[in-house]
Amino acid sequence: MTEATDVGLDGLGDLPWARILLGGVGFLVMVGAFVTAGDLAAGVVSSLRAGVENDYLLVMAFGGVAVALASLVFLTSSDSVEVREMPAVEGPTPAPEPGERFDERLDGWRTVVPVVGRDVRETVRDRLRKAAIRTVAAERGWPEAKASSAVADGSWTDDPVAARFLATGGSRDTVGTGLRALAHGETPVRYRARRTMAAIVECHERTGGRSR
Amino acid sequence: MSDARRTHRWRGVLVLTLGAAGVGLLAKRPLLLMLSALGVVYAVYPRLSSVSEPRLDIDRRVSEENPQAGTSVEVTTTVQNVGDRPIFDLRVVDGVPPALAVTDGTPRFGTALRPGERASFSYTMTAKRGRHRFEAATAIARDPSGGHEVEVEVETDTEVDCTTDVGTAPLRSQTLDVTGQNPADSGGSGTEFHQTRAYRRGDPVGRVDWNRYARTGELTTIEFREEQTASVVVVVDATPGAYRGREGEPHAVVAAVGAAQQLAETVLDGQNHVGLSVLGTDDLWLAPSSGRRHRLRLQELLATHSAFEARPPEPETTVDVEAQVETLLARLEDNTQLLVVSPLLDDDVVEAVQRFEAERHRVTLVSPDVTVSDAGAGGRTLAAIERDSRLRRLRQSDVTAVDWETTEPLSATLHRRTEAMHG
Repeated sequence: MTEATDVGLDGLGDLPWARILLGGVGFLVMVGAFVTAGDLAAGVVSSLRAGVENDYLLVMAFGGVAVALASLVFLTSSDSVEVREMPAVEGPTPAPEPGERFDERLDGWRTVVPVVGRDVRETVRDRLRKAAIRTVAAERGWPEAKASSAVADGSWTDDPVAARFLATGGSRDTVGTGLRALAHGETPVRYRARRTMAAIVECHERTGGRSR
Repeated sequence: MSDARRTHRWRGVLVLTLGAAGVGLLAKRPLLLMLSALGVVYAVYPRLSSVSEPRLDIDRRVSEENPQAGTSVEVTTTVQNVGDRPIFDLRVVDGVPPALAVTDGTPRFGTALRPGERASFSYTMTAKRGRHRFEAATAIARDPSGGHEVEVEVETDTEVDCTTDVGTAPLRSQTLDVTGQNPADSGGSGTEFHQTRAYRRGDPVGRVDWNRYARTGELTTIEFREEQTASVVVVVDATPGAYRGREGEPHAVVAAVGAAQQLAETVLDGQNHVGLSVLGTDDLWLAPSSGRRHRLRLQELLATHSAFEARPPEPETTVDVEAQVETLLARLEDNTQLLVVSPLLDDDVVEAVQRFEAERHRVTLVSPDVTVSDAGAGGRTLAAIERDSRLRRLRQSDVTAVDWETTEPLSATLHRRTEAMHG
């Protein structure tokens, strides 16, 4: 259960009738002003007319100020309607699938930018290298150090693209790989990573797959 | 929570009012000038009106508190104005559990309520495996002009428990020197046969193997397997990397929290001491203990602690797992074993488990599998292979690791494992 807290017109929070009364009085004053506007404003208008010596200029000035104020309010209020959005609760809170972020990173524009994308490309290679080492170690019953050497010299797989991608000093694309990637409609990094993943999957399947 | 503010809904009227007055004056059109007077009323009224924070009470009923996974659960929520002022414009969104989906009806409701008046709305959601606690309902009240609004959250405890009793928890043999229900490696005064040994002076007469004495004339004493109490800390992996799940399914943290609750209660049922901790964005430590009050405290923490927040953290959120492991190790007493529940989507948890084992705390890992093996060689398949490697590494380190396919109940996985162990 929630606690009551009054908000609204400052200082009148606990006096709702005072607000209504104030509003009513204001409304009556406005109506009265319209009815007796001629008499009440006569003195002020007369002095203004005497000062400006031009009725139309005076009206123009008032009108101009009103239009300027309207423009000002319009310009400052174009995006100021602040109605709270209600939470979306109809579906399960979305969470990415395992590996989804890796795919997004691989498909992102950063991987193709020469200098800026170096870190992203290295992150992709490091993750694939680690997975390859562990899978090779599990498949052949080797210690990870030996599997690491096999990945570093490219002897872990028959796929030359995958072998070169994870081999020491094999980070750069060759012209042939670039053209083949283009033929597949992929970026060179994505093409090489996909071939490497296929080699890892093949190796993993030879371990008997899942270890439940 | 009270956070009233102006909506500025009528600022457009103010623009029109000033514009009409200005153009009326400039173009000498009295009608426009008169029209602007009407606009003044609309522009000023929201300034004079206000809204008070609504005092609401929410009552939520579910058609089935322990449904089977995949079945429909009808929810009926009743909102009552328990304040003494009318609420002219009330919008309510019920706090549907984050892992569940609404399949029929809507959890949104709009109404006006006089003091004491109540109104109900219903919707249907599909149950999924796990324990699902409803979140606070969100209510927004506006004044008659809509110029002010105030948002409140109304809590009421409702839970849908879509789990089954796990039967036995996969504990290791590390125990305390206190009588309990866990078979120890030493002989003693339990109920399960352990061994026979030569009779020693002072052995109870009831323990003498009289059949053997009649057969061989040899006086021997039967020893039963001593049963001791285990001290177990359940550790839930709620690191940002664990907030992953299959499409349309609850993510791994929801599954892990549900499993942790089932396991903790089963371990408590066996007269053991159970504690709780987490690897995640917030710190949590409940020292191992037992008893009814402790059980309730444990249930409350699993249901409400911010570390188990069902909404995934921001993608850039990081957690220093290594530091959390050191903190946890400093809190653990000797002979405390750990029951870690983790989807194993990160190497950090593997290293944490190995560190616990190195400090002589036996670890049992229960791993909800939320990985997806797609047809192509993509990141999803890579994640599944990586998880397999982590499971293999842990088993090679003699850690008991239970691979739980979340499409089936945890009890079924544990039952199958127990049967396999006993041939």
